Amino acid sequence: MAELSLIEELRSRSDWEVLADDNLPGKQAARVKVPADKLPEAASLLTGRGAFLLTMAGVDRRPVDGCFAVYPVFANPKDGLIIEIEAVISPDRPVYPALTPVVPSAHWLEREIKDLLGITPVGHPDPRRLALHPDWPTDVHPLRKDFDAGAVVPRVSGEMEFCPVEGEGIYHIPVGPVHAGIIEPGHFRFSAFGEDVIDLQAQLFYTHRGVEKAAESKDFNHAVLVAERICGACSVSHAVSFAQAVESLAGVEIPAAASYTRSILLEMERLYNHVGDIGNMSAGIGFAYVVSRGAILKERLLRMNMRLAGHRYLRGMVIPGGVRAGVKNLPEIIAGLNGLESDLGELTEVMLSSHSLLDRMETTGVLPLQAALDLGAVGPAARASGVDRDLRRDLPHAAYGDLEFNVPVQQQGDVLRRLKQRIDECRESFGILRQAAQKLSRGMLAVKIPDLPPYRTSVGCTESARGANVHWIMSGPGNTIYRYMVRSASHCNWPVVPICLPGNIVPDFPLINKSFELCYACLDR
Amino acid sequence: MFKIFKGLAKTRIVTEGPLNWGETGGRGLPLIDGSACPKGCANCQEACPTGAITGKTVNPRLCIYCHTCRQACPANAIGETEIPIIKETAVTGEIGSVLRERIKKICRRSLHIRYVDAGACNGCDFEINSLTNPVYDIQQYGVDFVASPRHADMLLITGVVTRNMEIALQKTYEACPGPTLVVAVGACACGGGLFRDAYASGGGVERHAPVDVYIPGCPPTPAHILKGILTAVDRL
Repeated sequence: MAELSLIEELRSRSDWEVLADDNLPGKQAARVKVPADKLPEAASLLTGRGAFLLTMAGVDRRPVDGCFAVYPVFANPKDGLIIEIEAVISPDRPVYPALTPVVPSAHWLEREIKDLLGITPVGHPDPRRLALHPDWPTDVHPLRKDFDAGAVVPRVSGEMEFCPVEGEGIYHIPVGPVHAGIIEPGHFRFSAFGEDVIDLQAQLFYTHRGVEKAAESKDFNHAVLVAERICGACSVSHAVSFAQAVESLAGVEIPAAASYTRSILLEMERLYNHVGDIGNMSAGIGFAYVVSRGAILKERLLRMNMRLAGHRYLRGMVIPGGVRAGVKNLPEIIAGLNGLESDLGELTEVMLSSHSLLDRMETTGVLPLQAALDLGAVGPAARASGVDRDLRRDLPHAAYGDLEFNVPVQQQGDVLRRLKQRIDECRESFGILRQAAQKLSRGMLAVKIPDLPPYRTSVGCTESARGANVHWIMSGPGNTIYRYMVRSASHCNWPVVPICLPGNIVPDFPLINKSFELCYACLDR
Repeated sequence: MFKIFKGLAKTRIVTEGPLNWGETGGRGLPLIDGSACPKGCANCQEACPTGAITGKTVNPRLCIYCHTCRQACPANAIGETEIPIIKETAVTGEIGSVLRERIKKICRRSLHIRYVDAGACNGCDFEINSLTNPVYDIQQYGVDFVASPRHADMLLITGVVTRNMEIALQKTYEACPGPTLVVAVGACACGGGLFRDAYASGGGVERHAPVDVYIPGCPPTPAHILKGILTAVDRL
């Protein structure tokens, strides 16, 4: 067993402390305490064995034990092994060797840790600020415990930093933060030569609300409401991730009826997102018929959600310990889904037999497989480029371990493949929903969560419509949350969007952007 | 092409009007029946994550419609009622209010909206997007969304107004030809919701622009948003 020897190898290092731990989800889990200067070594050992970075959290533990700490969390998909590394960092000189040179997908996570906690990753190739805009004072780190959440932070003068793109005939197109359509805010800067995009840089985090701090010192039952409101379109996924983190920290197993209900909710969420995106991608090429039909189908799904759970975005269903209520009108909804599946089939047939659609989408916005792997792209976007990774299968959660489904994968990674990926995934979702509806039995819907042991860490993850949503928590005293770190699918995928742009024309950006369908709220938090 | 015509013929007209909106309003505003309350019980008030409950009344602008209070009530004394649309008389001076009345008259049948996400979770934005789908078809009321604030009669704002969006929102507001009708959509825009006191959040739209109409809800349904928009121009 290669994985056991991985644990053994970790144990063989004299200054690393390996703690087998059963409160992380998955079949096997481990926690490794390493000295801060050995972080890159530990990380490259894990990635060398096929593990990938799930999330990375920084914590201000000074009120507890007088130091800072960072926790990179890896998953080894081969057998559902989750490994959490812990490195303690001195409060006098909060620095550590950056992981990004060995694990590139940590790049935004580390920049965020630097912004929000003031812990500097030394050797990071891009030390610019990320989450805090240039008008924040440089010595303000809101996730430190001595930062007063109610304090008014003064605005300082500062300019956005963009890498210069220069040359004869190069011009720049600044766009946003307020966009022409009904979408979220973000600032994009295109550097173009004629119609060709040479470079795209983005300044995001306009909707940075301070979600993680808002959950801190809240009771976990209230914090799940925060988790639901990170993003409107991934409400269930975020709530389930958070609930799983709490449950595994408490060592609680949820009843079967609750896990099937969660799977039903998660798949309904995936469906309305995917169906909406399938239609909406055609808005990028002006194919009005498909846009309208897609919107009608999406509206039908949202109304099914209302019948199912009393909320169009399925909020208020998931609680730590299970679900608050059972799903209603299930037989009627499954019948409705059957009709919807055939309508969707007719629509996608129209789409895929339209030459003008294929012309625009094929070879547009290619995400190369290597870039997707290196930068840790997730979800349908990664699978369309050939990354065979789906947390429903790799780290089974809710009832996915007992449900049969395939994980479709495409190869070329262009806009068309991202469209086809969603079409294929919808088919699987219809299948999962039918199975789950059949297997859903009556029974207890929730168990009580016992008191949480303080200052323990835990991770929960789900596969949302956009990819992996990973929630990492550290408990505080009295059932509160001490630190909450959310890494959403959009957090993983935003950095890869600019890579797909060069070589395409400016008018294709809306199309490429829609094919990723990333959420700003999920990223900015 | 044939398939497209076939699809069109099969779908027929799906557009609905206010009289046949085919959906309920979802979770409503909690309504506390004081006569059924056990003596000295303040469970609902303590359970409310946003402090929207004082005594026996629920502030619709602070409520996030999570119904935690209903779960916490030992006597089952909390029912629900339709979420209200709250109309304010924005203070903009005498000339402003005269102009405002004229604008409402002029815009009654043709209203152009500029939408700004000032730090929402995307839920309200999805629902505003739903307004443009063939089912709600907001254009049937003479209402449409425009790309530039220069063309807008109304600003439709979602979100808590984050620190990072504050300036952009201010500039958008100033770019609108005044007086601008301002409509706050969703719990965050109406009162800050769960993120009212978060370090990067501004606590709702009213601190940044005078608001004409609040549309509470988390998120409000498309039908509710439409009602709010039409209320702002005195059509409902």
